[in-house]
Amino acid sequence: MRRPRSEKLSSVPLSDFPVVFISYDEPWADRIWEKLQEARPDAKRVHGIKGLNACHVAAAEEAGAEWFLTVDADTVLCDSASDVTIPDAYLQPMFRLDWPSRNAVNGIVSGNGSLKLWPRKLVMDMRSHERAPDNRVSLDADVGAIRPGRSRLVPMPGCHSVSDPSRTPFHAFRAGFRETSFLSWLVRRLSGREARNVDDLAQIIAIWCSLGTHAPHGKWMIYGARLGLWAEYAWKNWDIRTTHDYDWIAMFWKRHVLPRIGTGGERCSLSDTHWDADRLGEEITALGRVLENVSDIPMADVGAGVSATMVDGQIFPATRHPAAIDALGRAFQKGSGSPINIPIATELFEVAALLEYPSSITNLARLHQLELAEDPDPDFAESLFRQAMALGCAYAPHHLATLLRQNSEAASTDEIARLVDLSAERGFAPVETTA
Amino acid sequence: MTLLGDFPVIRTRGAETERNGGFGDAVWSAAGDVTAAARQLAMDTGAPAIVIVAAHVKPSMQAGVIRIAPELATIDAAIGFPSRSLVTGLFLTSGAVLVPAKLLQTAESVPTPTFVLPHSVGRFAGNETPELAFGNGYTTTFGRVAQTVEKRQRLGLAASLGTEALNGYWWILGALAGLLPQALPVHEAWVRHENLLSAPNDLPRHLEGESRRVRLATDMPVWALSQSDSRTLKAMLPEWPPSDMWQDFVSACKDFSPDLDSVAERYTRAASHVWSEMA
Repeated sequence: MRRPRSEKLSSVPLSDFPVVFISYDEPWADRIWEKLQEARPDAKRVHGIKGLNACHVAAAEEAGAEWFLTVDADTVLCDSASDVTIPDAYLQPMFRLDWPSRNAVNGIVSGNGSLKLWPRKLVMDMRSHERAPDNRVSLDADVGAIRPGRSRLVPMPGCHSVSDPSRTPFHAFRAGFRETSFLSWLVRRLSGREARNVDDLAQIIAIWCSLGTHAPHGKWMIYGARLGLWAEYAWKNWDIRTTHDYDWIAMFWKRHVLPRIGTGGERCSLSDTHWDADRLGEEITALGRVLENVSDIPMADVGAGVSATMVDGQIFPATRHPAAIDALGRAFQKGSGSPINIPIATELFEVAALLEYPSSITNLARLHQLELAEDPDPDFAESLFRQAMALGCAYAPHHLATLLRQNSEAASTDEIARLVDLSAERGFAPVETTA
Repeated sequence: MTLLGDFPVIRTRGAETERNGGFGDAVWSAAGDVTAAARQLAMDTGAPAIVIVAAHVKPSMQAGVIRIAPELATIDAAIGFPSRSLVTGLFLTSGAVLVPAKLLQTAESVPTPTFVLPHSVGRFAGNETPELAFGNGYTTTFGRVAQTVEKRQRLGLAASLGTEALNGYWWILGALAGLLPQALPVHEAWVRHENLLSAPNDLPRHLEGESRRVRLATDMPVWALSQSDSRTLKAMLPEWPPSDMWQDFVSACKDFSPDLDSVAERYTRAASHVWSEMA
C-alpha cells in the first residue's frame, strides 16, 4: 500500500482498551490497584495465579476482549498514559505492543514492568515460562516464538509508567536476582555478530548491580542482581528456569539469603523483615569483588548520593536497540505479520536511521532503489548507501554496486567490484549479484 | 550535499598533536586565525559552507557521514554538532560548526550555532596538560544554570566524572571552581590549585575537600569518585546525546521557520523512542 506521506495515520486511544492489573504476592498490590482504578475505573484484576504464562491467560480471559493492556503490580501509570494513541496499522493480531517502564530504583527504562498491549489470540497461543516445552528455555513471553517470522514485540515510543519492585527487601531481591540471571543468560548466548547487543546488555547488568543504594531497599535489589549474575556464572547445575519458580526463590530467601545477612537494626514495616545493614553492604561488596574475576561486567560500589545523582539525572534512555525498530520497519515493508505499509516502514527506518543504525539507512536507500518510496530518488539512495557503508553496514556496498550498475554510466567496473568485495568481507555475499 | 563530509573542513589547532581521526583532508588553522581561514577556504573552494572543528576535538571516522536534513542544508544559519568529553563521558555542545559561506564573509569569530544537531562529531580532549584540563573543566560548568532536577543532577555529574582520565582530577577541580557562587575568573581559580602540581598524590584528598566545599556552598550533587567508580559509571552513559539536546534542536527548528517543521517532527519521533520525555 503506498499512502501519501502527508496523510495522517488514524489511531486509537490506549484508554479504549481494557486494562488488567496482574498481582501475585506483593503486599503493596492493593494500594497500587486502587491507584489504577482512580485512573481507570473500568480496570480488572487477576491475583495470585501461579505461573507467568498462566496469569497472562487469566488476564486475557478476565479482559474478555480482542486486545487488552496489562499492568504489573509494581507499576504505576503516569498521567501521560491517558494521552497515548496507537496507529491502527500497529494493531495486528501477531503484534504485542510494549511501552517501557522507568525503574524507580535504578533509573533504567526497559521492558521490566512495561505496559503491554496484547492481542488475546497471541496470549492463548503462547507457550512460555512454565508452559514452554521441556526442551526450550523460556524466560519471557517469547513473542517471536509464537509464530516465528510473524509474531513480534513492537517497541512503542514514550515511557508512561514507573515500576518499583523494591517495596520490600524480598521483592527487591527477587527483582534483581531474576533480571540479571535472565540478562546474563542472554549475554552468554549471543553470537559474535551481535557484539553490540552484548555490550548493551552488559551495560544494563552493570546498572542493576550498581545503582539504587539511595532507595529504601535498593541495596537488596543490588544484592539480588549480583547474586543472580553469580548464579549464572558460578552455580553448578543452575537451571535458569528456576527464576520462574517463585516458591523456590521464596525458600532460597528464607533459608539462605536472610540468615546469611542476619537480623539487625534495619526493618521494613511492610514485610516486618529485619536485617543487618552493615552486613548487607559487606556482602554486596564481597560479591562484587568475586564477580570481577569471573565476568567482564564492571560494577561500582557507590553511596546514596552518587546513586541518586545518576538515577535522578534521568540519563538512561530506553534500553531499546534501534534494531528492533528496524525489524518492525522490515515487517511493514515485507508484510510479515502485518499488511505491507510502506509509509510506516519509511517512518520506522527514518527513526532508526536518525539513531545512526546503519541497516536502517540501507533499508531507506533500498526503498528508493526499489522505487517503493513516495518520490524515488536514486541520487538520495546512493548518498544513503554511502553513509551506511561508512558506518559499517555489510549490505550497503552490495546494494550500492547494484545501483551504480543500473544507474550510473560513470561508475567504473573496478569500483563496482570493490563494493561487492567489501560486502563479502563484511559477511554479505548473495549468490545473485545482479538486480 | 547532505553529508557533513561533503563540505570543506578546517580544524582548529589545539594543544594536541595527533592528527588522525575523521576529516583526514581537513585544513588546519591556529585558533586566532580560524574564522579568517574558513572565509578564505570558502572563497578558494566556492563551497556553500565550511565545517569548523573546534580545538581539542578529535573527529570520529564517522563524522563525515553525519547527515544533515536537506531542509537545513540550505539555510543561512550556523549548525553545531556536539562532541563527547574524553574526561567525563558527557556530551558538550561544542564540537564542530557548519557555517554558511555567506555568514563567514562578515564574521569576526566563529558564529554561534542557531541549531545543534544531536549527532556527535567526535571526542573532546582538551586534557593534555593540568592547566588546560582545569580551564576546559571550568568552561563546562561556569555560568550554567540547571532549571530542572534532572539538569541539576547532570551538571553535578559534569563536576564528578573523570578521575581516571588523563588530568581528570584537574578537569574536575576546574568544573567545581566554575560551579561556585561568585566563581573566580578561570586563571585566578587555577592559581588557587596550581601548587598541587608538585604534589599530585594529594589530588584525590584535595578533590574530596573541594567537592564537599561546593556541595555545602551550592547544594549541587557533586562527588569525589574513585577512579574505578568513575570508569564504571562512565561506561553506563548512553551513546546518544541527552534528551535536552534533542529537545533544544527540535525547539530551534520550530522557532526558526515552519519550513523546518518536518525536521522537528522526524527528530521528535526518533527521540521519543529513546528519551521518554520527548514522547
